[in-house]
Amino acid sequence: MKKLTFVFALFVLAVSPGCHEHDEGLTADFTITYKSHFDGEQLTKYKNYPYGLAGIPLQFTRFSTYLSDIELIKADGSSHRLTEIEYIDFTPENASTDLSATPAITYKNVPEGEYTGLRIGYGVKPSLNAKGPADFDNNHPLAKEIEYWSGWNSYIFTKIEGKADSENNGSLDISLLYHCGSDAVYKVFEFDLPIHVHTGEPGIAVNFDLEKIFTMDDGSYYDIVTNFYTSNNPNDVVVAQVLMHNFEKAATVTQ
Amino acid sequence: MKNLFSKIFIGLVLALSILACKDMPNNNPDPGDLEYIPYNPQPYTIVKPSFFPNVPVPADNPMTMDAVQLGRRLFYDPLLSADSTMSCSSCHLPQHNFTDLKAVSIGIDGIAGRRSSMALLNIAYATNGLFWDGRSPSLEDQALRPVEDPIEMHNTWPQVISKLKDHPAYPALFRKAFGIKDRAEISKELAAKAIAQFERILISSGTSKFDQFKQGNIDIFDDEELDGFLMYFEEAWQYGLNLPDAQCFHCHGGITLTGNNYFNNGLDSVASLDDFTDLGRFEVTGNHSDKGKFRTPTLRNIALSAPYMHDGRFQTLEELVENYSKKGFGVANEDPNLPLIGLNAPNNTLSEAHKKALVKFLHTLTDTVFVKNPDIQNPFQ
Repeated sequence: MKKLTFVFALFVLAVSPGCHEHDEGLTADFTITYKSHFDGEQLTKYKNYPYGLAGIPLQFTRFSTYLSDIELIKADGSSHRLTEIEYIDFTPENASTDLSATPAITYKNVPEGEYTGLRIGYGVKPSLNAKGPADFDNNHPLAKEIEYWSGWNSYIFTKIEGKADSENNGSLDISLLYHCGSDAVYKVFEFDLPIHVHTGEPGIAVNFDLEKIFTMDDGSYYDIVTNFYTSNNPNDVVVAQVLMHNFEKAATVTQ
Repeated sequence: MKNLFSKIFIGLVLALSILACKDMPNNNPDPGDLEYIPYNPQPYTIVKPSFFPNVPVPADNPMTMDAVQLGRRLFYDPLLSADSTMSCSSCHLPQHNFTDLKAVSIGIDGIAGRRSSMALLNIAYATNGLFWDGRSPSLEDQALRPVEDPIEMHNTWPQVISKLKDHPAYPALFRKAFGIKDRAEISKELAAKAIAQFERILISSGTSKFDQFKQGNIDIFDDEELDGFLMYFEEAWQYGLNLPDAQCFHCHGGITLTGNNYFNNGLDSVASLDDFTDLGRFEVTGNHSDKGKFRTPTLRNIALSAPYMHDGRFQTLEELVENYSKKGFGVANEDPNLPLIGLNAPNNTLSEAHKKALVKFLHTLTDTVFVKNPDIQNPFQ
């Protein structure tokens, strides 16, 4: 009888869903919605935002970015990769509004369960960045010719373009042209948060706040009047490194 | 007597009926009237340089030898226009990179269109909208439009289809291209698919001076052409040279030298975006900030594609480069690359020598092998 009780107890343990972080065999659709902001407000093209202590008008015309190896992290340190590469365009050409796009991408067959975080590579990871648009099928995110800079032998990981009124006199006199690329500026960041993946559960939102991309670690604002563009010399990636570093602060993940 | 009149009347009616039938297109033929013609589609392999990406082909319009040939014939056939005087090739001439040398194209009624004819070279890669404003999502859709445009061919598709069905050659060609069983199946959709297939083979030969340079023949450029190249692509650092950035490649980049995106490239000084004579992309998106934006054309074969811009306002490459060197007018939605043209030059301004070098480089994009390719010429000549 004791043996039977023991076997029954083992069976109960084995089938009990509460004791499993990842439900064996069960999968679900999992959606990530990508959002862009400025100072917490949904980004709008051509809108003047006050920037820095002087509050000079700053506006954006383009914001797009590649993200690599987006992975859900498990408690044991292993991970489930949702996608190898994603191209997120917050300012698509076919929009009927200047309000930034909020692309929502659904990943299929994600193992259900509890995850402890999310890992994202900002930019195009080196193994993919070693290739070029001609290496990919036409619908692949990396087939975009205009996102590749042959002079660098690199994809343009992130494009942030806009204008600023440096004198605050009504004239947008500064063009901002930040095209970050090359292996030297590729970054991988992790976000610790509980993520529940179950059928019917909401997905997550990955938010980028452009104001924080231009906010330095000490809280000061990046000098966009002096550093208004990224150098075209791949050996000079100072500006690109600052912005790509700041991406970590600029990104938040919520469920 | 009454009987005689009746007989004459009936005879006249019969005679007129026979005459009328003789002139009527045979649009309601017997079902299966084309089935005796073999349908044996052979896949068409698009010829492209090895360093070009694969050509996008929609799944519902696979390339076949016969469909490409049908499309080629339709492209050059004036039968498509109301008075049979104008074909697609009237505005898209192969020797001019499939443009027409006019500032704006003229239709069959002598009415001038609003915009310049766009080059068709590498048009298969344009998957972000066609026409200057991007109003057409695909080549198949685009091919439908000029026929019924009152300032282009000013025809109707039912009229075109009627002519095609009654034509001595086309029914068999449609059968071979698409396997239709009878001429009643000839449709505008099939005609557009055939034209789109022909347009998809209009791919660079990869033999321009620029292509040869990119493939490693670095001695092919003279010093001016090299300077122009380095300014265009902002690669002077590779050679330790101090040359300004011309910012061209941001919009005219990639292997086809166009990103097929939409820009206000600083042509007009307007007080408000509403003041543009041609609102361009706005007419498609309805987005205020798209006013005055147009699709970026390829710069391949640009020396053969004059005049330039959506309204053909510039006659020469020198005029074109001169205008860009002015860096726009500061209009709200102008591309932010414009003010940076000339960056790193004294006073951040392109010199006359810089401009000349850029023009010389643009001439290296000429691909004479493409424009002389016998497979894309007028089959009626």
